[in-house]
Amino acid sequence: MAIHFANNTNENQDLYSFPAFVPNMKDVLYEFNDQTLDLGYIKKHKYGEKALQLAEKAINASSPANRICSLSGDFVKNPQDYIFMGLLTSDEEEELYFYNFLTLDRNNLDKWIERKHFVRVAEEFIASDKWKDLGEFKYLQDLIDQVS
Amino acid sequence: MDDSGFSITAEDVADTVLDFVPIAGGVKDIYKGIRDGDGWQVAMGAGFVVLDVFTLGSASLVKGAVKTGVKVGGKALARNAARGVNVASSTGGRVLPMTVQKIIPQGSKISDIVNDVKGMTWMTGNEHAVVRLANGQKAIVSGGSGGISFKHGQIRTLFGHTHPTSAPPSLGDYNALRQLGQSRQYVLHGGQVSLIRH
Repeated sequence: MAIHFANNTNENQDLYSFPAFVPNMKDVLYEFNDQTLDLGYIKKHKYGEKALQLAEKAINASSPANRICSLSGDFVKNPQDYIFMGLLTSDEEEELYFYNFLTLDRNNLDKWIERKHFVRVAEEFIASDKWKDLGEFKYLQDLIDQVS
Repeated sequence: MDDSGFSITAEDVADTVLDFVPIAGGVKDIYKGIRDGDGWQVAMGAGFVVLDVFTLGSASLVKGAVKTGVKVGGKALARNAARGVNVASSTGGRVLPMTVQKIIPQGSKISDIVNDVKGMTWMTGNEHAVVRLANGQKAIVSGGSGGISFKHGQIRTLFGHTHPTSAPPSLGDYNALRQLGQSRQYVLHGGQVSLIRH
C-alpha cells in the first residue's frame, strides 16, 4: 500500500502508483514495489522504464478480463482455481523469467508439461539465495507448493 | 508535542506498548470495543487473541519491518486526514476517490465482511478497503485500479485492504500504518490473509 499525501506540494506532480508487483526483495525493481513516485524520478532512474513496463504488464495480466488459463485458453471463473505467477524475476537471463505473469487454472495443472521444470527452476532460484520475502508469507515457495 | 501540534499522552504510549504484547493487545481491543459499543473492534480483538494463542504471538504476523513509531491514535490520523491521503493500490497506476460500496451493519460477522471484500475485489480487480467512516459507520469502500484516495475527514480508521493478486504485504503497507497513525491492519492477498503491525 503505497501512500502519499495529497497536499499542495504534490497536487501538480505527475505521480505513478506502482502495484505490488515485485514480491522478491532481492530484485533490482523492488524499490518500485507498491510505491507512489514522481514520474520524473522514475524516468531518470536506471530501471525506471523497465519498472513501468513490467508494472503495466502485471496490471494487464492480472485484470479480470485477462484471467485466461495459459494451458486451456479458458477463462478462470473460480477464484479458488486462479493461479497467477506475477513478476518472478526482472532478469531476462534467468530461466524463471519465462514464467512471469503466467496464469493457470488449478484444474488444468495435470496438463502442464513444464510443471516439473518450473518447480526445479524455482527451487534452484531459492536455493541460490536469489529470493527474499519481506514477511513470513513465502511467495515463490507458495507457488511451488500450489503447482506441485 | 509532535510536528502537527498534537501531544502524545501516557495513554497513547501505554496503548502502543500493549499492542506489542501477545494476547494483551487483543484483550485491550475487546475492552475498548465493549466500552465504546464497537462490535467490529470487539471482533478484531477476539481475532487477535485467537491468532496469538495459536501462533504464540508471532506466526503469520509480519513483524519488524517497521520497528519504531509511537502510535498517536486518531490524532495522527486526523493530522494526515487533514491533508488528504491517497492509498495506492496493488494493481495499478490510477487512484480514484473513495466510493462507499456497502455500509456494514452492526453485528456483522468478520467472515462475512472478508467474503464480501474478497468477492468485490475479484469481480472488479480494484482495491477495496474496510474502514470506519467519519460518521462512525463501518463500510467497504473501493477505489480505482491505482488505489483509493481519502479526502479530509472521510475516514477515521483503515481496518484493512486487499491486494487483488497474491502479492504479499509490502514496505508501503507498513509505511501506511505509520503514516495513518495505526498500529495494525489486515492485508488480504489472493486467498491469504496477513496481519501486519509495527
